[in-house]
Amino acid sequence: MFLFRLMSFLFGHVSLIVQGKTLEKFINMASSRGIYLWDITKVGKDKMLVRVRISGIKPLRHIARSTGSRFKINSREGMPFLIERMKKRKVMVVGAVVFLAVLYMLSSFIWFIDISGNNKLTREEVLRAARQAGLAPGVLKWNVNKTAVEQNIKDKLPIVSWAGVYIKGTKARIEIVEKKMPEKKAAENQPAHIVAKKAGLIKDVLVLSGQAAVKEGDTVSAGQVLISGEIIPGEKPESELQTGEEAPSPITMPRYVHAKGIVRARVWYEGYGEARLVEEGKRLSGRQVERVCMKIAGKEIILKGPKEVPFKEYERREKVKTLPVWRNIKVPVELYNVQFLELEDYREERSLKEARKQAEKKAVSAIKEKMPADAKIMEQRVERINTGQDENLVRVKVFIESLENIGEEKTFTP
Amino acid sequence: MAWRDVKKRIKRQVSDFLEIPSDVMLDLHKTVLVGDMQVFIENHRGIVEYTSETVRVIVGDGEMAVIGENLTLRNITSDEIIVEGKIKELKINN
Repeated sequence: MFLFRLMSFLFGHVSLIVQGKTLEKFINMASSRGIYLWDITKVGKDKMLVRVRISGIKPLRHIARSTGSRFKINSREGMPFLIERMKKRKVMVVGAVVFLAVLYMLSSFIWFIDISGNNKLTREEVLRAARQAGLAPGVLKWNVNKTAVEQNIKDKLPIVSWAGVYIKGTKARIEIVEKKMPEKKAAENQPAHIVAKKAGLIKDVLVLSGQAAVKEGDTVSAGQVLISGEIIPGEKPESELQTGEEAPSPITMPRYVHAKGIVRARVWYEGYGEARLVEEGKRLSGRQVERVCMKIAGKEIILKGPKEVPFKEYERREKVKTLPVWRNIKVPVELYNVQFLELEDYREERSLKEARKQAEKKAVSAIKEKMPADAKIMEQRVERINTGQDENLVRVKVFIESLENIGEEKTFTP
Repeated sequence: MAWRDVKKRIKRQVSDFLEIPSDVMLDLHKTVLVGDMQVFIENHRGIVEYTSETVRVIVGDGEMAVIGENLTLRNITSDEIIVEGKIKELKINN
């Protein structure tokens, strides 16, 4: 049926109004002569509507004459008539063609560039590297050599270990992966001390290179030299001196090395935390509505979303999209995307124990921020601060003793 | 007349025996009714009457009438008619 309709559209068909006394005979004769008629509808006495292909009209004239009926064309449909009409409106056809051509032309440029994966690099740096290889907004899509752009980004920006360029429609996506650079360390050949990062009680000292300046049980303060990179000769163990026949003449010049080693010490931390017994406030309830509106020269038109915000209290977050400014011409059209997040009151009551636990948790997490990741907690003590007043707060102090490496390299010039 | 009846009977017996569809063998008409919306009449011999209430078609030796409302002839070729509309009755008289 669809095929038939398509064919009759392509070849064109007309609907005729046939008038006569013997319409049945008209139909019979037409069908027996192979003229295809369809959608025959009676519209009145001795009058009917008939559809027929263009090629059938001429033979129908003979039939009409012999059956004593007349017909006139009611409407014309199909391609041949459409083309005929189009010929009278040449400009419109030209406009349609121009429209398609412009659409095609505009879609063959790259208008937008997306960059992802850049953490240390800025967008501009990547864009500059891409521009050098011929990828910039406004270039023709097929003039972009993707592999060349990828290679250029990798060459110009040594931090990039992999770059991928994808072009989808009018948008180019540049994906980059940055190299993970090792932490910068002081040059190995430069003399350095190991100094204390923080105050503590030395637990053990492991010297890999240099001269230990502290020993187990010493209390050190921040910045104190733990392992010295300056080796002063002459302090040889006594046993060595005894075996040698003659003590070697002391070399007065000290030797400088890059000190290395691990100094573990007990370090104490103190943290403070508090929690309310009864907490009141406002928080987001999770319900939200979104409104999209257009601002045209100060007037707001809501495109989507409710007119009235259905919440009593809410937070408003909005994103504004504006058209780019071009040569002092600012288009006064802005697209607003406003989110309304409902706020609700809440009240939470805690027992003394719970509040204390929460305060402790806060205190410990505050301490943990100061501690290095590899520190080992040796002891933990919690102390409640009694202010003596009857108040809504539970204050807590936490003491933590941990064992950690407090050594830190510090270069020096002899 | 008697000769024609004999011929018809023999034809039917043969078609029954060989399991050939009788509309092919005996040159009978075939009518398909789709709900109360559409009637296909195959192997017709032309229409006798067409109004929006009745469509009468010659089939074989007799006549067939489709009675309903707003009947239109959807399709008409030398051996097939499709009648559409609200169909109320189908009459066959030989």
